[in-house]
Amino acid sequence: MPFTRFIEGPAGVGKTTRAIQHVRDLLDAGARGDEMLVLVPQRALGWPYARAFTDPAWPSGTSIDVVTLGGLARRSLETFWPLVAERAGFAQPGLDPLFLTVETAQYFMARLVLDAQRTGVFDSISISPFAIMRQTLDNLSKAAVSQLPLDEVADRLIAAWGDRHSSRPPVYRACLDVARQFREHCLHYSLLDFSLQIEVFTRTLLSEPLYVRYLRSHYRHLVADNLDEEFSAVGDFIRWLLPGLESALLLYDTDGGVRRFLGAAPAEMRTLAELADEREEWREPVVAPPEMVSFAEALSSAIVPQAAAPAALAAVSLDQVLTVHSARFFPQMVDWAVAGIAGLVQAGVPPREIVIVAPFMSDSLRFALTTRLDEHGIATVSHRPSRALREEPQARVMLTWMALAHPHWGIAPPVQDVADALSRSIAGLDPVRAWLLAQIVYRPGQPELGSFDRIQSATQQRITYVAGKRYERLRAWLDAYRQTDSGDIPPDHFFSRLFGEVLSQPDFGFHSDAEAGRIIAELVASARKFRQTLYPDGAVDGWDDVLRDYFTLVQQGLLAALYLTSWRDEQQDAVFLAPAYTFLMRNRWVDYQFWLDVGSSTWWERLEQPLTHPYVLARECPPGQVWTDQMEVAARDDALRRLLLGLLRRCRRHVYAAIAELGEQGYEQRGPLLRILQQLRQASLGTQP
Amino acid sequence: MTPDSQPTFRLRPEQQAIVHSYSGGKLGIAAVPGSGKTFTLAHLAARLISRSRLKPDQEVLVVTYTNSAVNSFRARIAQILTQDYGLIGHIGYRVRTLHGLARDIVYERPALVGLADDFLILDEKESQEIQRDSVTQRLAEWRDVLAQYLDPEVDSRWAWHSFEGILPQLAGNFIRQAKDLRRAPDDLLALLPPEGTGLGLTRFALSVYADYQRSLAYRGAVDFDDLVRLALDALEREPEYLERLRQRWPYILEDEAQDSSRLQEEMLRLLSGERNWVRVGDPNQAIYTTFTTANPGFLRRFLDREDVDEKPLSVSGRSAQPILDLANELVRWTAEDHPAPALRTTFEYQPRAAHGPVRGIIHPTEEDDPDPNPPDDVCHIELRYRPNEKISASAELEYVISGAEHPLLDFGQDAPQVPQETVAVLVPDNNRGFALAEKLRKDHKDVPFEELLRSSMRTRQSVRRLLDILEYLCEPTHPKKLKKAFWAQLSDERRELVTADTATTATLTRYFASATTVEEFLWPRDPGAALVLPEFAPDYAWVGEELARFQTGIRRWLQGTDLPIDQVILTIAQDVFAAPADLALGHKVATTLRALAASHPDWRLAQFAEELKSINENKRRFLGFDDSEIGYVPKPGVVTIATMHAAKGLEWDRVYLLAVSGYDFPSGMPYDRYIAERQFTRFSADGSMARLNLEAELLAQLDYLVGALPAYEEGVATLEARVERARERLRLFYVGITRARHELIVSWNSGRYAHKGASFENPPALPLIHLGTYNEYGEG
Repeated sequence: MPFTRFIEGPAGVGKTTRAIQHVRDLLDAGARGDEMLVLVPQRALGWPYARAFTDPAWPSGTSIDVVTLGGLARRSLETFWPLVAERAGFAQPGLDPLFLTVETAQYFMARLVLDAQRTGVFDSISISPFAIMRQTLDNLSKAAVSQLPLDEVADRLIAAWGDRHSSRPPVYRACLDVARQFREHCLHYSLLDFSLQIEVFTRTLLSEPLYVRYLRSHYRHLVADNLDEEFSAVGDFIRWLLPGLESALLLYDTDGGVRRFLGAAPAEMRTLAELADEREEWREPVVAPPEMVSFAEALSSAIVPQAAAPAALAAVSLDQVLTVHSARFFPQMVDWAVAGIAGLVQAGVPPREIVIVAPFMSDSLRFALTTRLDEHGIATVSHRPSRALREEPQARVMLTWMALAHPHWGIAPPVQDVADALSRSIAGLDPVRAWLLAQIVYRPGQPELGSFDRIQSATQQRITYVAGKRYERLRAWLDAYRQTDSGDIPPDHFFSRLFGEVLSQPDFGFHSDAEAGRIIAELVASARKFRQTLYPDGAVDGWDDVLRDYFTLVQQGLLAALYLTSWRDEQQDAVFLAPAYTFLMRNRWVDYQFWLDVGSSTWWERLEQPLTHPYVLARECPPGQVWTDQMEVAARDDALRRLLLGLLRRCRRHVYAAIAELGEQGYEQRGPLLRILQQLRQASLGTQP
Repeated sequence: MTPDSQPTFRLRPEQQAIVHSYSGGKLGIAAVPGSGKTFTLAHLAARLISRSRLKPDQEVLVVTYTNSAVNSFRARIAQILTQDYGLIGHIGYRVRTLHGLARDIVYERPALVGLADDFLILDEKESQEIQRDSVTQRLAEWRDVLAQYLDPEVDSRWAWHSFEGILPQLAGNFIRQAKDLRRAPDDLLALLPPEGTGLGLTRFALSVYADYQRSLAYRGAVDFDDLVRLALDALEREPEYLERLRQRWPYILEDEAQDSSRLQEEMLRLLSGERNWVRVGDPNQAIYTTFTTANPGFLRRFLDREDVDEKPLSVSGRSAQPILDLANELVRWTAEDHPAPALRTTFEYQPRAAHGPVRGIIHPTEEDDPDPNPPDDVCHIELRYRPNEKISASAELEYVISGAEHPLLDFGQDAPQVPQETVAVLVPDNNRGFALAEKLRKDHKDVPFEELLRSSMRTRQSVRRLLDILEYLCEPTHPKKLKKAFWAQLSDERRELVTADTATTATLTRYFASATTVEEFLWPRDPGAALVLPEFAPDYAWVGEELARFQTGIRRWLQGTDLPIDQVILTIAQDVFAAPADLALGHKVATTLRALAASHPDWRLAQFAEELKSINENKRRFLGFDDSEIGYVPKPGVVTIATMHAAKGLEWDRVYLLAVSGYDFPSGMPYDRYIAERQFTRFSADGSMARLNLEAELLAQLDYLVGALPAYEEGVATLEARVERARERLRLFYVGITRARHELIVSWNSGRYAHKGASFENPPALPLIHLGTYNEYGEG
């Protein structure tokens, strides 16, 4: 057995710093970078390592793997595919594996869900096909990370509701059927979604002698950070890996585990400590000031009285660390936060030392904050979850041209779309002239765009001849495509050609638009994955139906664009906007935190979904467990406590908590966090001399 | 002020008996109009908060029926807590509408009832659109069955066309009722007898119901009616959750309990655990009973229960004694002398306290009352009824405007002395109100008025501004719309200033006219040849800045029209609004349209503009965010035009009640005509000579299906619906009368079709005739 050290302590006591130093010490002692494996639960949690390892002061030429279990699985499967493909049950082992993202997994899942829904099996619940799809994928993932058989997922979900829902069991079975069909399709075409990556890796590859030899000879040192956020499968992997290592450093955040809703199993991970030669418990915060620590403890014991030692509120002057502001309306709250941030920045606080968190950050809120801060010249960086491709204006332009290039589909985009497409496609064509041009050259229902040359000269003059000429080039491309290639190329090729041959050329709108280039690249990638997922062997009679399918799915909002910010983005001197959980998953420390919408009950409410359940699908939950309201409340209280502790322990100076009496939707807000803060304030006032 | 000191507001003895003596248990209060029930309930809530030692996670739950009532309740409780008890104003209670409360319950545990956390709540308009779509799709399939309900004697094309028009509403009523019965489409389908055994209308409605529910499920959405049903499901399925909520809300105070439906009552019964539940209402003001699920019978039964302590709120200082007498006489006459015996139970009327407190009689205040009745000498009652006299619809308007002893022209700016009183004209339906508004607008510009017929003025103005800008963005080459967008961009105050100055207005008109085209105005080909901003008088120099701001703004908005709709709206709202309420409204509009965009991926600006128009016209209501923050407050000297329904809860010094005819206020007489018995439906097969009331027949078929009726006999429900309609309208008349403080003018007209012959004439309403006699000759 290696020398294993298990360090446990709350966030902000220096565990990660210690781990980075540990890696450095190993390097200094002669270990090679590629002998080390740094395992993290989420890519963003590996960023502190990535930053340190690329620091100029770090020894050059060291390449250290900082990966998630999923990342390791994927990489290993890519390399060792021929070893496992057949054993793992893939029907065509010769077919290269295609790794699906959540988005691309949805392409095929969408079709299965829509088919199932048409049979009425989901009629007793009221959720959209998109949500059914997401939750079915979620169940697959949870089964994989908890290492449960698929059948057990349905059994556990049925048991969770006890006899309260006679209509539920058939729904869970239907959901299981969809999951099975999806799995079969994946096995048939060598497609690997997240769940299959984990399952094949843990069940097949880890029992493949060649791979085992490779892995054991490759890695000699392990650092596993934020174990509290890890899945059962990771615990199993670490137990399996440990015997062959020289050293292991395991780090555990005492009050972490905020990803339980994603399947994290903090209690189970803590049992890894039993394997350690040395256990250390660190308590001394190096980040948060004592007042903040006291505030955090007081808050914790107000939520879950038995969870922490009695609060030492008497010693806390809450005002030093907390400002609470109540506004009547939502935008007033936003204005208050923006004014506060502007004041701080003016006083010399670097924007990157400020974070704005909310339990849920709608696009509207994100937009309102970004534009208002922008007015003050303050940059923002935001982790934006993926949103429907059709909502990206540049993607809409491409889709409009796609519809017009295939008139036989009978899909006539509205005039506004054509005007928008013209305005964005043709350099120098303003929206008013684009509208004028669209009104004249486009008649919904008529297959072809009219010629600029046929427009009356007075109107040509209004539109300008320069724009007219460019329009004609675009029209000629569409004409040529219709006559020669229409329906003969897959969707990704269509986008690439339209972009490459016309829109990215000089005189056209995307020529010098880097943002457009990025989005079109996403679009092309999305279309390519779509093709590869649904038609992996390329056996189609013609691409026309595929093109049309793709177009329809995007129009229905079932396909999304993915945006991943990188740690380099977040290095910018910008205020970070994020849902509270996302901020915690960055493992960053800041001077100032703005908590928005403190009255909202969503601070406390978990994302409750009818088709899945993070707690009963955790391995630590006994099979057959009936999930009661009492358990639900206890789980929510615990999650809120962990969330708030996580936030406060990552704050060096001050928390500004803003309340909107009427929430974003106009409802009066009375959430538990508001109540708890008021309770603490009253207690704090009571202790003032 | 300490908790033991006297409250700022003096309570009447009856109010004191409620506020100071209640500490728990079931309490029922039958309150007469103007007796201060909101006031009393707010005091009771405050006292419970201060005295009952609520734990930090406990609240007194106050439930009412409208958003504006929520706002005024909240404000009032906060004020009492602060001023009378020295407590923080916004802790220890929660005020919700019933639907808001149901939403809270479902929202906290959505998976319990098969919903995802991001479930949508469709408003009525959206629901109706889905139902209309389904009706349209199903029509061909059901045509033969449905045609059996038409009168073969009338023009079949017209009949079918008219029938088509009401089918969505029929299906909507059916769906609402089925949900109130907690019956899913599948349950009902299983109960249907074999084909060919009648119930054709039900079979059709059921097919629409099934489509509709499937459509909701596909959207991950629920409608308003689902909210209460699902909340109840959640509470029943998860006893621990119910117990937790009972702990959270140890006291439940319910206002306007006469409008409660079976499900709503059941929800509150469960939540209260039959422990501490106070229900206040006036069964005599139940005016939402026809084809809704509301029923004042629930409150009555509660009041009659032996384990319920009943306390009266029978004293009202609102109206002068003669007006109180008139209202009391209406109740007495109906209960004792109404010629249609079935209507004698319309009002809750217990003149003598045989089985508990007196009910249904309004008592005047005592001498030293803090808010006494207006004196008799300022009271004026004018009941426009003379035997054998006919009055046309337009003549009635003339009468109200200029012919009455106290005419509306009193409020004209040209009148010798404009009274500083509040005044309202109350009408049975919107159309009558529009006709009056139109006439005032056309012929009597000096009489200021505001319509309470649609949404509130403030919301309408703000939404209108957004709409004007959006309409321009939908058609960016339109010069007039561009100009309109400029006006919309100005704040209300600035717009008024510009409108008031003719020179500035003229300069602006010239400026906009000087642009040859919109594109040259916004994006001149030669920037050097751009229009030069005009010169304005020094006091109006800011108009130039507004123009420049507008040009920049509109260019930006035009370049962003293909952004997601919420971003378009937020950008505009942030640019044009300054008032917090307007900005919040903008945010709400943005998120509402965003939610719509999710279920209508094909929608573009034009469709969203249409939606905004619906919001503006009040066809689409916002749940949770009322038009008015504090409810409507009548302005002295400005005539309010409102429906009698909308007037509930309000009062004016002078009130006109229009169109009190036998058509709008039938009395169960053989000669009465009924709005729901349409000219194109056939006569009932039972020989009663009544045309079928399809709504009533359909709901009776449903009742039969679920076993609530032993048999379905065609025509019976039509006749019963006549009685129910007459009852509701009697209560509506009562509500109208009791809005007046000291002047009441009531009139009728013989209808728009009187010229077609005697059978088309509307007679005056029977109660009007009786009250006319009573007013003239006194009792007996």
